[in-house]
Parts: sequence; C-alpha cells; structure tokens
Amino acid sequence: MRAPLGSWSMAFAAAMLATILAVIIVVPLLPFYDPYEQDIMSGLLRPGTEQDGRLYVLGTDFLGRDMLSRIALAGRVSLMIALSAVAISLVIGVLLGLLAGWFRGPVENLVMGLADLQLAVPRILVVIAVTAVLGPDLVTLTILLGLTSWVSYGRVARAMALSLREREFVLSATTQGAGTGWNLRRHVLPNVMPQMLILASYELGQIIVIEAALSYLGLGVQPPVPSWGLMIAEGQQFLEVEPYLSLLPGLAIFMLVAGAQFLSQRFTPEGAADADLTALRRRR
Amino acid sequence: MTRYLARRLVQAALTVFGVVTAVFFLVELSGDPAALLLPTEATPEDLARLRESLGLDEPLLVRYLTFLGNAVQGDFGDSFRQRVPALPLVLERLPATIELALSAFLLGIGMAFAASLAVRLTRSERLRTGLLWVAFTFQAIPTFFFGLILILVFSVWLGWLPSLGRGGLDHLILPAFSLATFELALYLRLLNSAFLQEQTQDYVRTAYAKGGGRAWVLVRHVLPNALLPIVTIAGINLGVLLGGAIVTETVFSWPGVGRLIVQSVSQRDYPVILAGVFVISLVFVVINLLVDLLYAVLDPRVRYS
Repeated sequence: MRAPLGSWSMAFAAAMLATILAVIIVVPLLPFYDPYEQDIMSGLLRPGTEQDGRLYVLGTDFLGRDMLSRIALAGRVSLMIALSAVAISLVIGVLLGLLAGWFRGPVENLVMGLADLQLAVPRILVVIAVTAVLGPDLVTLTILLGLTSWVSYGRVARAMALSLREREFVLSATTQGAGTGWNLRRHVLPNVMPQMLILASYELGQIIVIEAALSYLGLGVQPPVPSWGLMIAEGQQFLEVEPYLSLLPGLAIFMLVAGAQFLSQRFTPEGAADADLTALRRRR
Repeated sequence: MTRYLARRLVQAALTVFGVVTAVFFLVELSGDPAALLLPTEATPEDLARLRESLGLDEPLLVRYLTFLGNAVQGDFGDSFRQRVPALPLVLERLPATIELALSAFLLGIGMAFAASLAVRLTRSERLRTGLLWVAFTFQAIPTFFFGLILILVFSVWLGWLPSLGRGGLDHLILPAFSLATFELALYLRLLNSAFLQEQTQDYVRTAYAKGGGRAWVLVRHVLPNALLPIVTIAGINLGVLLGGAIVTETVFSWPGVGRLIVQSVSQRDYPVILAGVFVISLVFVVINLLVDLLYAVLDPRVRYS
C-alpha cells in the first residue's frame, strides 16, 4: 500500500531528522562546544552575532551560554531518556502481553486489569505525583516513563499472541515436543517484534514530548543540565523581546519528533492511528 | 446489562481506591513534611508540636486508615500552605479545568469532523493529503510549545487576545485552541482511516444502489459506523486531555486544577496534590464508564453480559 503522504514529504522528514541528529552528534565534537560556560557580558546575543572573535550561530541565553551547544546537549539528554524509557516499556509490554496471550486465564486477567488501571489515570499525572514525592531526577524520570508506557505494547502483543498460538507452525512445534519457552522465543516473539518496533518508533516521539512538557513544568530535567522543555520555559520570560530563546528548542523538538513520526508512517499505511484502532477493537 | 453496570461500577471504585492508596504511600515515602514547613531555626519541640497537630506522630497503618476514613467523607486534610481544607480548594478550580477541556474537546472534534466530511464529499486527494499533513505536524508539536507560539503571534505581535488568566470568551480562545490542536490531529487521522474502512463495506454499495446520494449515504450510513471507534478513543482521550490541560493551564496561567497541582508540587503541599489527583482520576474513571455505556447504545451488537 502506498504511503499516505507523498515521497517528497518523506524526503523532507528524513532531512529534518538528519539535520537535528547531526546537530546532536556533531556539535559536541566542535572546539567551541560548551553548554555550561556563563558570561553575563554576552547574554541574550541574537543568533548570528559575532563577539570577541567568536560567532554565536544560534545566539546565547540570558546567562550568556551558547544556545547551539545547549540545544545539542539537551538533544542528547532527551534522546537518552526517551530511548531508555522506550526500551524499558517495550520489554515489560512484550513480556506481559505474550504471557497474557499465551496462558490466558488468570494471567491474562491480571495483565489486562493492570493495563486498565494504568489507563485509568493520565500518564503525565502519575509522573507528576511520583516526581512530587521522590523529587525530580533523571533516572527516576526515565524509569517512571518506562514503567507507565508499556500498555500499548502489552495490548497489541497479547492480541497477536492470541492468534499466533493457534497457528500451524506453533502446533507443529508443540507436537514435536517444544515447550512454552521455546515456542514463545522461537515462534511467537519474532512474529510480534516488527509490530512492536513500529509502535516503539511512534512512542519514542510521544515520550520526547512528555519529557519536554515535564521539564517545562520544572518536574523533569533539572538545571544546569539543559533540556528542550526547560529551555522553552527559561525563554518564556523573554518572549516579548527575544522569542528565539523559546522558538529554537521548540523547533528542535519538532524536527526530531516530526521526523521520527513521518518516517514511521512509511512502515504502516495509517500508522499509529491504525494501531490504536486495532488495539481498541481487540480490547473487547 | 444491570450486572455489567454493577461490575463496571465496582471496577471504577476499585480504580479510584487504588490510585488514592498509591498516592498516599508515595507521599509517605517522601519523608517528613513537617520538617519542610518550619523555618530552619525551629527547635525539635516546635517540630514535635507540629507533627502532633498534623497527626504525623501516629503509626503508618493508623494514619492510612484515618486518611481513608476521612477521604470517604471528602476530607483530604488541610492544605499545608493555606491552612484550609484541600478538597474545596481543588473543587473550586474544577469549573475552570472543565471549561477549558470541554471547549478544547468540542473544538477539536468539531474541526476534525468538518474537515473529514469535506474530504469525503469532495473526494479531493489533495485536500486529504493536506489535512493529513496538518495532523502529523500538529502531533509533533508539543501542546505547550504551540500555546507559546499562539501567545507570541496573537498576544505579543498582533495584540488581539489576552495571554494570561481566565475571564471572558477572549481569554478562553488561545488555551482552548492550543489544547484542541492535539485532539484535532488524532481525530483527523482516526476519522480518515475509519471512513476509508467503512467506505468499502457492502452496506455502502447497497445504499448507493438504492439511489442514495453521496452526502446522504455518508451522513446516514457511513457516519454512524465510523463514529463507533471514535467514541471509544474520544472517551479515553478526554482523560488525556485533562492531563494535557495540566500543562496548557501552566502556559496560559489558567486557574484550573492542573495548575494548582503543579504549584502544590513545588510547594510540597501533599494534601492538595492528593485531593487533585483524586479529583482528576475520579473524573477520568466516570468518563470512561459513560463511554462504555454509550458504546452499547450506539452499537446494538454490543451486549454486555
């Protein structure tokens, strides 16, 4: 089936993604890279300003810190959090989903009950409540985002395991003496994984957005470590005079998330929306 | 149906109970709130007195049971900061949050319906692609950042609309629109694929064969069927919308429950956080319950047993 959006938009998405990834990877290797050095004398320099023989490509923030360096480091922080959280939730979701779909009965009821409980509260509210108590911290945030994001994988994995366990190749393996572990590992898991990875590429964007929102609220990444959400919040007080302070990190989020999600569309006709629908239908 | 309703009600009550219990024990993990409330020069006696007045000197189980007993009666304790009962403090913010979430919900779903119907009626591939583009773009922009752009354009540059606080309709426009775009993106994509799926069904061909016009078949036959998955998603999403409202409220200084919770988090005002989480999850659970029942009304094939 043809991708819903034309191939030139795919090229554009790929270019956006490549650009922001290049900034994240290459900038920290350059000689001027320093996301922390403060210099009040060169605070709030507009993008492209040259001062003391040095070009500030994206300008400086209110403390005179180099915006380009900070955006690059913030990207690393965001990606690290999001990738780890996606990995955690993927493992939990696939494991629980496969067990639920394979064993049915009480296991299935327990897992689906957990999923319903999880869905009964907005994800961001859970993270806010826990952060309120444990204090904002990078590792806590990552683990929390991972623990609260497994439901979509779990649901789809369960639905797929339900139908896979009845398939001939599994029955054939079972009649030849294959146990549960062998069947799940060798026959079910490989068939579930492609779908899971598509979901993951969609979830990656979502988690980056949630992390940015939490950091914006002051409940995520803590200063002086930069984060795109935090940079937007810091820039908001200068919105009337120097809007670039908020716009640049916002643009960075957009490039990364939009790029990833456009590309993930390439692999599914209607993408995640379709996956949502499928998951819901199978809920009943 | 009655048995199903009873089971769902019990389920809903258990969920709210689970949430409140989880939050209570989380707060317990966090250490001594009394130490946070007193200035650093306070004596140990001061601390002991405050702990006693807050009931913090009782054993954990006793405090938990007391807390549950009080919570059932709508008493979540007094706000540490404002020294007034926490629940009324939250409830007095609830209308603002509902006003924002509901307008965003209606605005988002209304725009999505208008757009999708236009696509189906005109069968314009260009319009469809354009709208999907808009949907994908909006889904990649964090709501709070889009809100900021709206403030920049309509408040700072054009000076047309106020950027802060709650008041008349003009205060509502920017936050509601900003929150609605998230909805818009999701519903555009869902409606698009739902319409596509329904369009190829036999009953549609039959309706055309009976001489129905394009608009008639669309509104009378396709729409009710395409609506079904949307209702479920919309219900679940209304909760996500409440979550999104937390952030949007902060961007626009909208005096709702979300902003109150965020402020209470930075002040470590636990009774208010507890009451806020309770209220939002209660609203969420009730909405989900209503959605499930509505589902049965919309689709006669769904019979709950």
